[in-house]
Amino acid sequence: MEISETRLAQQGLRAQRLRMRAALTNLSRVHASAPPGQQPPAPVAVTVQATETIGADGPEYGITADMAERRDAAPRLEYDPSHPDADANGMVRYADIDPVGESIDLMSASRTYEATIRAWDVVRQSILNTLEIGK
Amino acid sequence: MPEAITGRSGLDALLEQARTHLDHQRLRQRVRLANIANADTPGYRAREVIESQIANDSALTRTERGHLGGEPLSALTIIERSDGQADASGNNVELDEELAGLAEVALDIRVTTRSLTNVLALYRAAATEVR
Repeated sequence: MEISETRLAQQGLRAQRLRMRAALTNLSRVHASAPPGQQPPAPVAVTVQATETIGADGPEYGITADMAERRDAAPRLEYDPSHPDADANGMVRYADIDPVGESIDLMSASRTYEATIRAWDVVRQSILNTLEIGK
Repeated sequence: MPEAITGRSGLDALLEQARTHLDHQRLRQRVRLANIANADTPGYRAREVIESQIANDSALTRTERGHLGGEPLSALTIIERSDGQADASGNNVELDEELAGLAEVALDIRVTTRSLTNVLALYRAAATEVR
């Protein structure tokens, strides 16, 4: 027996988990620099998309999430001549990551993660209730 | 005793009605769950189940006591909501409203299953206590 709500909740939790992982990865790379001639680590981004198909008993909803490196990101330049990775002009190249944006993303992903668990628990309880008809 | 549960056909009708209702409530829960899981999916529009009532002509042609007449038939449609505060990406899910709605449907399912169990207990008593 497949319960489409289970799959939906599971896909939703996975999407939020990926978003949290991406934000944490990026936050850990905020201060990662690269010596001249090399690229600082690329930030990762998660694309989340809602899906909808028509199943045997009504519409079935799902969520897809993919994590990929943002190749287009240009390094962030900071002036710090004493840094070992500084180039001839004293500029250091860091990964292009906005720590404030990443923290907000982390918060919103974990909020949605918890809401999905809570909502799934309510639905699960309702399914169990219908099993008690006649008892 | 309510007219609807006086005969076998009455019980059938009642069970059928309960089944339809529980199917509808399950769809409502599924849509709410999808909204909550997509609470910050970029561009997602909150969905809503709306019920439209169709006049039931059988109310006029009811010929037997056990029949459920006059009950309006209903059809469910799922629409994308255009109200609500949309964020920068166009997502307009209101998380608190969805959680409250989900809890309300869960309560309704609890009430329905409990009432159904009570009705079935009456039938069971009627069927066994004559011995």
